[in-house]
Amino acid sequence: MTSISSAEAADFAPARAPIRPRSRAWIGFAIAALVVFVGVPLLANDYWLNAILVPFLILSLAGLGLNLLMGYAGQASLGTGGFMSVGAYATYNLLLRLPELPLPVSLLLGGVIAGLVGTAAGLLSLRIKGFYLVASTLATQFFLEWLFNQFGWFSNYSTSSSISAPRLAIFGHDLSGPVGRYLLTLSAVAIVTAVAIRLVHSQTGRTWMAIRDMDTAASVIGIPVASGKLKAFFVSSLVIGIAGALWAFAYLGTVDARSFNLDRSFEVMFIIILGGMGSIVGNYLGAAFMVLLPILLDHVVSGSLGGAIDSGQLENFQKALFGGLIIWFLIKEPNGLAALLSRWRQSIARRTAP
Amino acid sequence: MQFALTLVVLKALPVLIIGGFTSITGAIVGGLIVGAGDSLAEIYLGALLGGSVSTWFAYALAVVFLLIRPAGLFGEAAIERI
Repeated sequence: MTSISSAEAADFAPARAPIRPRSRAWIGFAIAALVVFVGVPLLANDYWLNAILVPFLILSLAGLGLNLLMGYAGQASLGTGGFMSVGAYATYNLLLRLPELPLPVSLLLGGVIAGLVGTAAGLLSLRIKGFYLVASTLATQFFLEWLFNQFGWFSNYSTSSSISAPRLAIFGHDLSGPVGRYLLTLSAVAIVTAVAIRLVHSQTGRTWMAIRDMDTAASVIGIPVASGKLKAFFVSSLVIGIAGALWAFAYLGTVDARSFNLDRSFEVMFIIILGGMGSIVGNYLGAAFMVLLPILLDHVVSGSLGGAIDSGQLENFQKALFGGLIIWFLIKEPNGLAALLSRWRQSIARRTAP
Repeated sequence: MQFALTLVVLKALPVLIIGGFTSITGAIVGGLIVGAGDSLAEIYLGALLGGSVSTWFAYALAVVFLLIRPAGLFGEAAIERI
């Protein structure tokens, strides 16, 4: 008996060796957390926080939500903008009508409401697949857009179609400054990302991937396809709803149904196509690309050509460029920037390996 | 160039779904159904719900068709191979 256990111990001994790189990874993680939570707010100016970092983080979060649905569970959707508006309006109404709830609870509840709406929209996915599902999520998108424009109750009977958001505060700490809004967004993104990473490696995540790869085969081997799809819609819309609420409160400062139109749905879908479907890092890469490329283009064009090109033409050129890039990525690199990054890291590791 | 026109082109999608993807007759009939349906819904349903119903009505109609008759009115039923 004892000999077996010692043999087992010998067997398992090498498996314990990689504990050092793991602890090193934790140190790297702690340093990264310190940098983004403490370093960035100290160093970045208001323009960077307001106009680049906050939209980047929120778009990454929306991308993460759509990626769970489209990249992991294989259910393509163009209702992202609609679900974002549900999150924004739900959070707005919770803050307005139940002011005793703290902000994080309102955000989470807004997300849950968006998740429930998403689940209802996801019921269609039980019968409709692929391209047809995309067409039917268009119905969700346009219906939700119409709903929030049409019924005054959602915007508290405000006369203009955009309503200013209530003051942001957690337990008396004012968060309406650029740093406060950045930290609020960053905390939400960090928490949701951690949960999402756990989720995609859990039973649920594996169920989603089985459904994505082939739902008939998945149902044959006993995977609950229907509940898996609905769960994917719920979680995805919850994350997208939180992103929508943050977009309205932490970025724009107003709740406006027009900022959650079909263009937003396409934008988030482009982010995950460029970044990489079925990858968590890909959302951040795609969102960074989406936020930074127009700014870079603006600088390059105004620097080289001066005033020769007006802003309308530049905007059209941007759209054409994004369209071309998306076609290129879909053909040449369907796994997006995340695949490029991992290949680059592998080649570096190979070159530096002894 | 106007990107707002994409919304008009997008409405061709419900037309095709309702008419059926493999049929030219279906495209014509689907177009008539979507056009007339939009306007009728705007008048009769819009009076109940407060207007602008035509932004989503065609898509909702397409969803109903997808649920009841996925091949559309004139399309061939697709054979699904596993």
